[in-house]
Amino acid sequence: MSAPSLLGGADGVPNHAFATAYSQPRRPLLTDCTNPDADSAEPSADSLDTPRALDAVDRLALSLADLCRSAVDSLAIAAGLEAEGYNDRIAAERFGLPDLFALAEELHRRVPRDPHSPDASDDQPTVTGTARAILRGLLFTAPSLCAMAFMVSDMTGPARAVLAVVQVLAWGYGQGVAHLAYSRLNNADRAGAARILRNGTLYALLVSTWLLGATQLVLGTALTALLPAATSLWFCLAAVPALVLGAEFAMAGTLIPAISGAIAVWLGAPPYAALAGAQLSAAATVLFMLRLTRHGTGTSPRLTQRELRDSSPHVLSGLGTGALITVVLAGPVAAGQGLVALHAAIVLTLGMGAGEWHARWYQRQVGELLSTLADPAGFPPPATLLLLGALIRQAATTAALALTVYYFFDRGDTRAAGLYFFAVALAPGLLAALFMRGIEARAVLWPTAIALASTLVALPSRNAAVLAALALEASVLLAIRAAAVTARPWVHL
Amino acid sequence: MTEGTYPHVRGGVSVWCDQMIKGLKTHRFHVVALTATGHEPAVYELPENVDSLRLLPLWTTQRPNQRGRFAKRPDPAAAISLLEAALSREPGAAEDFESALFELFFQAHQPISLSEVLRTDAVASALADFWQRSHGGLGPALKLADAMTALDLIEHALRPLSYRPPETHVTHTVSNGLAALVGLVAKWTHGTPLIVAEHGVYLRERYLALHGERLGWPVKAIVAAFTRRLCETGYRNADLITPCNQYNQRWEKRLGADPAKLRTVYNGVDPDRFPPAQGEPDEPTLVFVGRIDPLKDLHTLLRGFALVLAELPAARLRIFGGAPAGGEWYHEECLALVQELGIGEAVVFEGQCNVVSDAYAAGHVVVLSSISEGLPFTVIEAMACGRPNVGTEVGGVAEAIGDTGLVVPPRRPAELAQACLALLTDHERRRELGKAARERALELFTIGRAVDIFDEIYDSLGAPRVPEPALEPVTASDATSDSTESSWAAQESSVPSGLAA
Repeated sequence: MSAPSLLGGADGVPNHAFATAYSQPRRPLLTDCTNPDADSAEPSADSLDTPRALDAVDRLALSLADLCRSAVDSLAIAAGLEAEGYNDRIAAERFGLPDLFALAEELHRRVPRDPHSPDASDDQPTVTGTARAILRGLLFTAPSLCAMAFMVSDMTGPARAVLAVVQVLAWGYGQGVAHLAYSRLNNADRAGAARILRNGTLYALLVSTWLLGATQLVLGTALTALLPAATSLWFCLAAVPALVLGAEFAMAGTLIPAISGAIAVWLGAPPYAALAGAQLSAAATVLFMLRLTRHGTGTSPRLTQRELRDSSPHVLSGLGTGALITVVLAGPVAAGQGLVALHAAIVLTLGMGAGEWHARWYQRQVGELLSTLADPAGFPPPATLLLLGALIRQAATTAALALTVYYFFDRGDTRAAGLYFFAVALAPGLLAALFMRGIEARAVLWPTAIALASTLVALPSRNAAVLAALALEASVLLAIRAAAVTARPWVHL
Repeated sequence: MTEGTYPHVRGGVSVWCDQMIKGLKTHRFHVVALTATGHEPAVYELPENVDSLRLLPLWTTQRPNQRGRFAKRPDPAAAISLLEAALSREPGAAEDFESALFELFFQAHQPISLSEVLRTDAVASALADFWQRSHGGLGPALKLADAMTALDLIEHALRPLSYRPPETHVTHTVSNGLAALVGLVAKWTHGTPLIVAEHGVYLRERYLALHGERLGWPVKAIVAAFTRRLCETGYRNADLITPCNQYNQRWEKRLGADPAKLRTVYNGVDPDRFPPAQGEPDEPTLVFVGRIDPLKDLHTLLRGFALVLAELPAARLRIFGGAPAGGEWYHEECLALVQELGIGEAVVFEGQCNVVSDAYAAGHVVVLSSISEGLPFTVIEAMACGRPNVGTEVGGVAEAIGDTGLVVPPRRPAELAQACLALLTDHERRRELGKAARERALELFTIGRAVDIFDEIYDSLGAPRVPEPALEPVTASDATSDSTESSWAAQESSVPSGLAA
């Protein structure tokens, strides 16, 4: 015997009664239904406006409206009927039909399809979602602030160079370990992800501390100069697990001492209050990380060569992006304009916070596009426009931030203006890189490498306009690559 | 072949697997478990006649195989044929589906992974075309997001095609669907005979699961159509189908199973582990043993018990079992209902019971209020303990209880209460039914009987009996998995030897 066709009976003309009666609220299939007996499922008064009296099958259809309306075929109704307690005997005794399958087919024939898709309102942006996006952006880009922390401190050139390298390495490490952990999370291996984050962070803390210690011993850097850099670095390293495991809000509490210290200094307390607050925050972040990843000591599989290989583009892209920013901002630091560089870093940092929000906007728009189009061939042009829209929004947001910071802190400083141009020009590129990292990390590499190489070549000129143009070049390269990568609908699945 | 059950998850099917492997000690087993990630810890100790445990994860991320820039593009022809046959209602579509599945099986062992084949614009366009042809005007149009989601789900479901099974004498799957797909792979590779056992009905359970999932209607329709064709293919290619009750056969025949290949094999219990319960509790007590799960419909049980309590104020209800992970909300609902009904003094949620026979002995009558069942262990275990059941008329419950207990329609608290009261208040009848239940269990529902039947089936399919195990026992930690290390298709690229035949 062949199975009933997928569309068996679905072309039946619906009874007029149903058109009215099916406006009743839906109810889930497996909820407590006090009585499946069709005799007790009285139709609503509205539904009685019918050309003929409702029979037992009609009444059953009304009581199981949700099941019948949304069934993909008659067998789906048969399965639902059995789950509601109906069987062959009931089908025969109460409905005069040969068996349950015949009853299901009859219901499928009588009830018009009214399939409902999942409620899209759940996917709409929320205040919490936006706040999370901005918080993530701030925390993700904190390394640029860390970089500035040691650059503006009272350090010799070689010490700064060593610490800049450490900083860039930490950037690459953050991208790599985050990718490894995300891969495990995608495979529902939360314990494995926690273990990678825990062990990775502990190793990174150890290595960075050793490097800083060696710097102090070999180069004779003053501890007071080294400590702010170390504190910032530890915070940045220890924050990665919270970002990956979605504990940004909980981790934000660890920043309270640092913020309190800064406020205290602003109110007149001695400068070391800010350092003490920052150190407390860094320590709290490390403790938070240990607590957050405490389940990461299980027996999930160890890292494989393949996982490490797959994470290498992420490490490289992190290194490249970190180097690009650090190299350019190092210029003003070396020229004694550390504060200006710090302001530019703040602009980039806040800009990337907004970038997280723009990324969410882009994802929603692409989701809507996929839900509108039927033909994959129609996807690339509007998808490219959406990407362009997101990048323009990013540039505009960063420009607004730059203008604000420039107006309040560096008005009239042409050198600072050049750096702000650099930040504005680079911001869309960083967002494009963010889009690509989640899809095809390798795609970020060559545009970043070209931009970094040309920046290194142009750096000795210390011409702000040239640097800004190179940043724009990096953004354009990254945007072109991102347009090619994101134009394929499958990467958005 | 198991899917989401033995040896990683506790439950009726896993108990059955454990019983069968231990019982069939003159046969040796390679256990292949379809799991979500391949990281699931085993909760059963593997018997010593298990030679290997292989985990096939379905939900790991799969990356494309590394190929040169000028490598051959994925050929979507077989995937397109499969989708056309899945959605078609033309005669012969089931056969076309099977042919396309076989083509994909062949393709799954080529360097290009099925993931790459299915995730192409050509396949998505073809799917939209077939949808328009089959469902145009009947439901929502198929949008790109729906097509991509459906293809993604189908790609995961087809991953077993790239598995390389060991050569064995018989493949025994615990269900149709994906587990049977692994069996088909063994059949196509080595010509291994396939036995499809079914506890629930795979397709029926997939329909129920799909109904509650947050997917667009077209996605559900496509996945259901695919699953239905897959189940038809499983039934058509099985050398034997062994449902655990007669009732399931209705679905199996409906989906094209050859009646001559259907043989009901009841689940069984170990009579020594479930000896006759001695004596009865002092207070009139009802016992429920099972998961706290919507399918068990504890709401009806609690409402029914409230009616019992109104008639028999000394009555007690003891609920043994816990909520599965993720299902705690239902336990909460039950607790709230107990409060609402004001029966908190008389209802006890006992949690898991280490010695299950003690749970049956703790009551006068064992109640099962389920809305869906295969052949529930709780019924036949209670029978073995000499306790009469009050059960609902679903699946194989009435078939199991026979005339040794009372069967009522599901979701009828009043009728459930009436049946419970009848047995709680009529001591003579209750004891007679309990005695009859024990006798019926010993006659029809023992492990020994089930094992003997499968021993005979294996024998008839050419599986040799082997001497006592000589190999080192395998433990669950020895399991091999294709999880994060590589995509299945990437392991080897040669064509399976059996394909040449």
